[in-house]
Amino acid sequence: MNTERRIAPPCARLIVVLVVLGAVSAGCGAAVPTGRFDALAEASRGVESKTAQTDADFIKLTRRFMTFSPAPGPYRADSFAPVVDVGGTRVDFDFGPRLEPRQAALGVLAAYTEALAAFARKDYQGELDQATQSLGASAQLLAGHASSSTAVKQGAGVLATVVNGLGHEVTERMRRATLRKAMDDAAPGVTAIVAFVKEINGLAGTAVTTMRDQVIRRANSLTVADGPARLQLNEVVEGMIGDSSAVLAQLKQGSAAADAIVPAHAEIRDALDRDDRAILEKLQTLVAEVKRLQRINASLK
Amino acid sequence: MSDHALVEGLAGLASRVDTLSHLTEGDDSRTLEEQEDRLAKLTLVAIALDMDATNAKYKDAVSRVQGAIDAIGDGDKRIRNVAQVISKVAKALDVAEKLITKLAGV
Repeated sequence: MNTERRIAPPCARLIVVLVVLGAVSAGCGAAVPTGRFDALAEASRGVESKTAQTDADFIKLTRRFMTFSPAPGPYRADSFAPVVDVGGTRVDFDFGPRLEPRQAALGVLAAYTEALAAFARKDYQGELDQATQSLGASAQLLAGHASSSTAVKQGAGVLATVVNGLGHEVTERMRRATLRKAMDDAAPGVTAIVAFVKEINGLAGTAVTTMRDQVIRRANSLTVADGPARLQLNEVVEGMIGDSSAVLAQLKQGSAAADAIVPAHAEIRDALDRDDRAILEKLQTLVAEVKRLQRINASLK
Repeated sequence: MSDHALVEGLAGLASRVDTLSHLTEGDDSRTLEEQEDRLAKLTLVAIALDMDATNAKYKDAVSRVQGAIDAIGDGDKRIRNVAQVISKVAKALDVAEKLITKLAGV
């Protein structure tokens, strides 16, 4: 990363002495590379915000689906609410509550990576405290949600514990060691959150495909004569198909971007041992996936 | 067992029933279309619901849906066994509908 910044090493003199003595140990006093932590935090926040956009598009698609499946009888205020007939009973299928824990899980992940970045930058009073609070709020939301899996709740708990354990380390060496331990401890939590995000994206994808196919089937069963009415129907069906494809692409790309966070996190952790500034392929992959996700969202506007 | 097994099974069965409805004619085709419609609705509700994969009725519903998927099979068999498929799909639908309406609290 050409924008990567390094914090001036306070134990530089010690390093010089050690080099002179020929007894320097790898990573002992090197500065913590903050740029890669910033990139990870930015990418995680990007996945969170783009997923929120995807969910808004998904809910709009559900509304459009309901125009093909309104409640029977005369129009009422709730004629187009997400309700379908199951065995003669009207049953609600509001996807909102299913999506909320995924958003909270992404909030935990973003706050965790922001906390790491703030810690690496020594921004203890500002962003670290803010990220800690944000993580706590998201973890609480996740823990209280009925449809959160046990694994994701535990994962969020792990990240909350890790962030709470970040102290205000004075020396670079201690900060590096703290980051190493924090990232080692947090790795299973990061993996659990990403798995949960992909799982919910998969469910949302199934819902989109089901709604799209149902609309096509119903449109095919309608009898509309050639003319303006047919053109109007064409437009509505084309809109449903186009928007379904767009949401499916967003969900797929969102999963790919989330998936890239795990290896990027591991790569940054390993780089703390290696102390190299070589190009981080995994981080680049993550950044590329998030950019693709942003392009997909932008193309819908 | 994944707690999405029923969602995946219902969606997969709906897709297979849809294909079969296009390969058949008359009453069989119409019955399969109705079943596909019911399966699609169940899929949507099942996605929105939180389900306990260890529940015996849940497991039974997953097993019935899988049985119907297996009955459709592939190739020429699906044409010969339409009556059997319709019967298996109907049973799977009944079990899944009862489970889902109960879980939905209606």
